[in-house]
This record gives sequence, structure tokens and C-alpha cells, in this order.
Amino acid sequence: MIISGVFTAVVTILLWILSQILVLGFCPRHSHFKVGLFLYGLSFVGFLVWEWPTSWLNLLNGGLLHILFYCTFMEFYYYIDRPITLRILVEARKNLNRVLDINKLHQTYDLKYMIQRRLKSLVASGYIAEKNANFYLTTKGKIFAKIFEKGSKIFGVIR
Amino acid sequence: MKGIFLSFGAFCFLIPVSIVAVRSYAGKKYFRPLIGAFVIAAFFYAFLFYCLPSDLGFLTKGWMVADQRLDFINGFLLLFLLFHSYWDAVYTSFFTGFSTKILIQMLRKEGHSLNVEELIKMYQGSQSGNPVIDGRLQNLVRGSYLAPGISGEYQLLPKGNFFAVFTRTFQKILHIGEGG
Repeated sequence: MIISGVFTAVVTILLWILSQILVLGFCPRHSHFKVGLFLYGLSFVGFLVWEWPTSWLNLLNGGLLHILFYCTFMEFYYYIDRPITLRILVEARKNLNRVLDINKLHQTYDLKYMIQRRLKSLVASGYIAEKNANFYLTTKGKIFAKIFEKGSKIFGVIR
Repeated sequence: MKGIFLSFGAFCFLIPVSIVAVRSYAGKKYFRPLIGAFVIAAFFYAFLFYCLPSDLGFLTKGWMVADQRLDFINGFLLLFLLFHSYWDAVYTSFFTGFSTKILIQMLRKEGHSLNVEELIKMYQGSQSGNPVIDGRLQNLVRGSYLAPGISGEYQLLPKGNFFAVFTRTFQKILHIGEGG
């Protein structure tokens, strides 16, 4: 009974990934998340249409898997997008003799540049705002910062 | 439905277990206690699945999966996917995230405000003045991804080459750019 929902969830998620591969190349980098989310919405509707009519159990299970596959894929997306560690390896591979040019790396990843880049991204996401060269937490930023601090404390991680 | 219910039950059990595991772990490789917590939760899920009745005492026939093995595997898959999302969320939010750390530093500062120079001061301290890169290089050497040379350069090892190719391939397929 639930096999059909699992199968449809897998197929519609794979179609969503394929659609991202085909479409994202034509979209500006900053719109990737929104476009991906829109395509995901279409894929979820596709799942519902494909399965309907079916039992509530099948719909619930398949829908749940569909959402969790989406989360897992997005995590994979950010695993290869964000980590500086992976960028270091990619930089090392660029040289013919596979030797990492440490000076070039420090130029690319100058601490000031890295911090400014993150600050820019945090401003764009609405967590912080800039005023007279100072960055301060917005209401949204305060709420999330408190959650992050509390979470770190619960896990006993010093940051 | 039994598998779905029990996977959520096991996931709720996993959260306090992971907190205890991370709190009792002295190192910085937090994935170790998290994997340990997942293994405990997986055994807990399997134990409950085999001990409890198919209807869990309240499920009607329409909400029950006839094939017990399929129900078990489906529930286990859900538990694994839940754990994976949980892992990612706690790692970037509470353990290591660069952006989340900046937000926490701002929260601790009077007026919840910082400038670039103050942030740089917080992160400086290593020999090269860039602890973000230094820490990662040390980890890559420790993990046999890179080997340090005599004149300060780093040689890419086969394991590092594999991950570099893997990363670059998927970055190209998904139009991500160079990342980092």
C-alpha cells in the first residue's frame, strides 16, 4: 500500500533535481533558492496529482518522505556550496602539480574579506543591518542569535 | 503507520541522547557522539517495533501496513532522514557555523552591535592571522587530504583529489560556482 507513495516520492524528487539542473543555469545565482523552492512546490503538487486518489496513509507517508528528501538534498547542496574546506581542496587541484599555493589561498580567503562576505549575506537575509559602518542585530537576528546561543549551551559547546 | 509513529518516537528519544552524548564528549569532532546517539536510537526503534503490537493498541486497519518488514524499513528510512536533517541543523546552528558565531558574538556585545575591525580582532590570533584557514588546513592534513611540504606548501593527496573532483563535478552540475 505505501510502496506506491514511496516510489512516486522518489520519482518526483528525481524530476525536481533534474529540473534544477536544467533551469538553474539560466537564473542568477542569488535566485537559486527561490527558483529551487518553486520547482519543489511543482514537484510536490506532481506527487499529489500522481497519487490521488489514494489512502491517507500512503499520502502521509509519501508526502513525509518527499519533504525529507527535499531537506536532505538541500543539505547536500549546501555541503558542496559553502564549506571552505572543500574550496581549499578544489584550489589545490587547480595547479598542474596538485600543490596548494598558500599565499594565493590567503589572498582569496583574506579574513577581512571572509567576514565582510558573511556580513553581506547576513544583511541580505535580514539578520543584521548596517549603520555608520557598524553592524547590529535586527529583531529577527536577535531571536535567532538567542536560539543559537541557547542551543550551544544545551549541547555544552563553547562558542 | 506503526513504523512512522515509532520512527518519530525514536527521533524524540534521539534528541536527549545526542545532547548527553555531545556534553560528555571532550573533543571537537561532534559527529562521533551524534552517530553514537543515532545507533542507540536505531536499536531503540528496532526494539519497540518488535515488542509492540502491529496496531500499537489504537490503529485501525486502514492505518496499518500489511507487510511488517516493509513497515520496519520505511520507518527506519524516516528515522535516518530525520536524523540527517537534525544533524545538519545542530552542526551549523549550535556547533561550528561561521555566520551563527558572528550572530552570537553580536548578541553578547553591548548594544548588539559590532564593526568589521572588532570581528577581525575576535578571529585573529594564529600565526598567519587567519585562524579560519589554519584550522581547516590542520584538519585536512590530519585527515590525509593534504600533505605539508618542506617549504610550507601543501600537496594534494589521492583522498583529497577524490573530494575535489566530486565537489567540482556537482558544483558544475548544479551551477553553484566555485563555492566556499
